[in-house]
Amino acid sequence: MKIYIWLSEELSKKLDELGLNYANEVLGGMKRIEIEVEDNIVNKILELLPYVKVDTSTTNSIELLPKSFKSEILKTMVEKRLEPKQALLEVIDALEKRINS
Amino acid sequence: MTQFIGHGRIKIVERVIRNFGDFNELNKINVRRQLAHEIIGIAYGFFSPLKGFMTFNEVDSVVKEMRLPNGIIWPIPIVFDIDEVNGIKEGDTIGITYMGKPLAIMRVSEIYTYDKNYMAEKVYKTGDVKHPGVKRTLSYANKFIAGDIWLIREPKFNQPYADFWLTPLQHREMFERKGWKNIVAFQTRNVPHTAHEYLIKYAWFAANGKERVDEPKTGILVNVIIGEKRIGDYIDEAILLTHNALSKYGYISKRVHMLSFTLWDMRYAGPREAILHAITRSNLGCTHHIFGRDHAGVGNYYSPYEAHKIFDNIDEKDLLIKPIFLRENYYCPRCGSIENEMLCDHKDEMQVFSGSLIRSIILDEVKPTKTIMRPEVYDILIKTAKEYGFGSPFVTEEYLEKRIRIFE
Repeated sequence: MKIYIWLSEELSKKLDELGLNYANEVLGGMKRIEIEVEDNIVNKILELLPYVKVDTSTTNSIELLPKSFKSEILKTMVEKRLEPKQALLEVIDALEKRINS
Repeated sequence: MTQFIGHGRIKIVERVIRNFGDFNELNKINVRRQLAHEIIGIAYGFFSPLKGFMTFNEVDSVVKEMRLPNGIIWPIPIVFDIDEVNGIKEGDTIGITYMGKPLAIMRVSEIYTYDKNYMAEKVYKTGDVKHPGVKRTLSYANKFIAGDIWLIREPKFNQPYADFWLTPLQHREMFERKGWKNIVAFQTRNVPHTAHEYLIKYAWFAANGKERVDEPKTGILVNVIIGEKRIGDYIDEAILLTHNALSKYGYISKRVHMLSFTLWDMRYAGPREAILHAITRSNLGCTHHIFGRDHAGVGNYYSPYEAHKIFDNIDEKDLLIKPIFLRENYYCPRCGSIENEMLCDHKDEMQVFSGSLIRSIILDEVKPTKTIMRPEVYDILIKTAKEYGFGSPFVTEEYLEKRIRIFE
């Protein structure tokens, strides 16, 4: 299962400049970060964001993740110079603390 | 002089009575949206030579032979299903209302039943209820009424639909005014990305054929299907206004571009529906029709180019329109352009414009590169989402509940 995060041209350039070259070009110059996630992470996301859709038939990805959640992952990557999966785990952790506080 | 000869080489006649006085005295049926749309379509000649809803013999002939009993090719039954006859008899003239207002009258020629499972199997080549056309067919009521219809109250379209509504006769008058001799139809239910744009442009060249290119003799009719919406589809307003943006901002010149819509609930009948699209667009006066990959298909019920193959078995004389078959376009990073398998040999590097990919970009609220979607098209899409889609360019439950009416 994957999480896909599309990048705008500006953000893609910025990440490249910072050496955070984790995105792949998918279509006509559009770049996307792909984060492979295990079942326990998928379950955690579903617990925290129950409205997301896990699409196992076509895209094999977690869909309808809020824009703010994806933006937070990118922000964490930039601020802490983390690779995408580490940034994702930090964001999940922070979200869980916020919800439980 | 505008030519009004339509499918089957039969003159298109509008079936509209503008001052019908005796409506209140008629036995009445209130119809759902699908039937109201089809009544409007029949009355203006989109489905010419049909004058009304099909009889048992017509349905049977269409289902088995893909032809009307008079030999004219016709792929999909156009039927009026009814739960309760409520005293209606063959020979009666009945009133038809939609959302409580008079819409049409019908002279009932027959009340009959038909095996819906058989109809579905033959038309859709499957009995699987997951197929939306099969599901629709099986959900029809148990009786059908046949008969000629006449529209007695013409629809008044709300914006933005009003800007793009044309009857078949009005389409033909517009084509004549523009001086177009060839008109290539592009069928869509999508917001345009650049692969669509190039599909349309390639087809323009094919349709233009031997015409000189010093002034436009060939035009493109983008004809949007407006009908049943499902959660996740693009909202109708977005489809119309983004296609309009393509010519408004010059990506397809206004000299060769026209936009309109047809009221029709897609049946997703793949090859059979391709024939129906050819018929309706020939009634609009189009001379050519684009058929791409998976035309009118759904899921894996039809092979990607099955809607092309069906034309192998159809005599050219059966249709007034020529199909233009195109392969799926993709972005080729090596060529740096939109290509397809027939035109470039870098298939291994191709980047495919899949619907789910484009959708995921839009859902991430990321502006696509101009190689994928024209910036103005994206901007209009987002504006339309705010204006008509309650914040989403895709159909939501809220949109289905509160959307503006297409017509009054």
